[in-house]
Amino acid sequence: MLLMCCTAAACARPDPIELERIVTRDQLRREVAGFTALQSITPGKLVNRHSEVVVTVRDSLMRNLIAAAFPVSISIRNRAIVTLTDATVIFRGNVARVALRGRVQRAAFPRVSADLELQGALDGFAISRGKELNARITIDDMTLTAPAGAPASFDPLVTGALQRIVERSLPEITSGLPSVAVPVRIDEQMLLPGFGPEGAFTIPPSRAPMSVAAARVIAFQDRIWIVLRITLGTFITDTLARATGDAR
Amino acid sequence: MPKALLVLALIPVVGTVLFVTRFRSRTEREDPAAVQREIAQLTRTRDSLRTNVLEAVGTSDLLDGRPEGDIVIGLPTPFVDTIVRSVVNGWFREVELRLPTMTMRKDGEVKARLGIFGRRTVGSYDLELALRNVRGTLRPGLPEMTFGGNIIRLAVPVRVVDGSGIARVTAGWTSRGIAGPVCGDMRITRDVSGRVRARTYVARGRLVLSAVDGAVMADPDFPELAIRLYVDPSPASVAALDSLLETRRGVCGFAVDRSRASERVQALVARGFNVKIPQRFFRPIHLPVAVQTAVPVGDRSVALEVTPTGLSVTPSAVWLAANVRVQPRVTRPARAP
Repeated sequence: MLLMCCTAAACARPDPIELERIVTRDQLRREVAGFTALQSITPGKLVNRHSEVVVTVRDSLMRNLIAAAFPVSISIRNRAIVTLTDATVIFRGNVARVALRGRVQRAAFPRVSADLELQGALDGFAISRGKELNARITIDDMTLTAPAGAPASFDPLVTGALQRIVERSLPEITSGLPSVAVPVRIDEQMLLPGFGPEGAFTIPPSRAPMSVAAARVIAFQDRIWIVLRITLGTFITDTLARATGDAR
Repeated sequence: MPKALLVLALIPVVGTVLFVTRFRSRTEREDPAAVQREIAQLTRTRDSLRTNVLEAVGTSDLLDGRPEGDIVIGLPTPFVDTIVRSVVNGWFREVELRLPTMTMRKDGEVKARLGIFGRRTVGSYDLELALRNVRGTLRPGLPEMTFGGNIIRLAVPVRVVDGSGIARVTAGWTSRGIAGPVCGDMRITRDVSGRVRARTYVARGRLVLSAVDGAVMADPDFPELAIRLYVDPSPASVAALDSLLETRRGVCGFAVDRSRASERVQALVARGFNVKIPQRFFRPIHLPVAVQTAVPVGDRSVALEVTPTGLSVTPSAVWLAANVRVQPRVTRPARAP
């Protein structure tokens, strides 16, 4: 009897109002942390004007880029399948919030399912080896609604069970999400074409290597602001570059 | 025995309690009243911070005059300044100019008053100067840059340094009249080396900024720059030439001396040589950040329709903006990493 009571309690559906309050509180925590960080880098310190450039992207474009990957299906340890079909992106208060919506269904009983909303943030901005600017979506919260596939009286149990499976698998879901590419091209080097022979000149082409890193990312005014630190090396002629490369 | 039974009976109970505790939902783990209080306090803090940040952002000159678009790229003026300076250095770095082989000629007659014979033509000279291997190195100084509109005005000091050259001098003397039987003819060949005189020129022009294929391009607009290269024959070489000529003595020596060969050689090169730096020498600059027309999404590539919405150059930054529309899905393999 005790066992049944406890199991029922464990699988009971969480109070949606309480859950919403917790989500609101978590969101406020992020916004306060974000604004605190933002306060320390404005106004004159947003960018080191000698070595940094800023790329800003509207949240609606990031949403469309994330949505371009949908539908995305992630299998959770053979216990459930999460299928994501829609996204909302809001860049405010230095928090790049991302909400992904879809459905979760039990792997063993595919008819048992519920609507799912995953809340997270866009972070981990980095330059890939192909000199593309990528970000990751990190999921840290979730809510389930509209359970289906079981008699209505079992809805709390269905929701509770799925909630627990998904809640415990947020890192797994995070790693299963595709990265988001910001449509910005960052050159690896600057090239100067050769010249001549013309008159007194014959100049071989030269190139200067460039190192690029995402220095900081902030989200406000419905945009994400990515500050890139760019360091340009010295131009070396191609013949010299080839010789140096051969020597290595 | 009853003790053992009790332990056995307790195992499922304890296990269940642990299970429930372990898998309590978040709402059960939090105190609702504490959550409510924290929300109120965080809201006040957030609102206050937001006001401060928005005020601070409003006073930043960097963001003034930036165009609107889905993607906006801002290159602060000092950054563009750094890049342009590097490229200008790259334009001129290790640039060696080499004059093509040139031949100059000078000839004339030498007249002299020969005592009772009066003023007579004693001979004629011809000088041939073949300039070979004249080279110099260009070295840029610090460019002056002025930003305005979509134009960067540039004044680049360019110094010609480390130049040298060799000229093969052929001096001929043909005696005439009464000097003929005495002096005869003479032809000598001698290499004269020299150094290119260091001199600074200023290349003045402008870079016109424009948006090309989602990138900012700085197109140089420089008029052809003419550099005049002066070669100073080395005193030792000139002295060697003179010493050869001085082997002639008496009337001949006098006549040859009148030909002033070394002087004429110096006069020939003193005018200098024109070297033109053509417009094509100033090569375009692509600033290093641009809007992409396709992005990898998962294992495929998604095409983007990029519509430029503005390029503006403010005193603080160069801004490039574009609207970007994700094109309907077309399955294409993603770019190779």
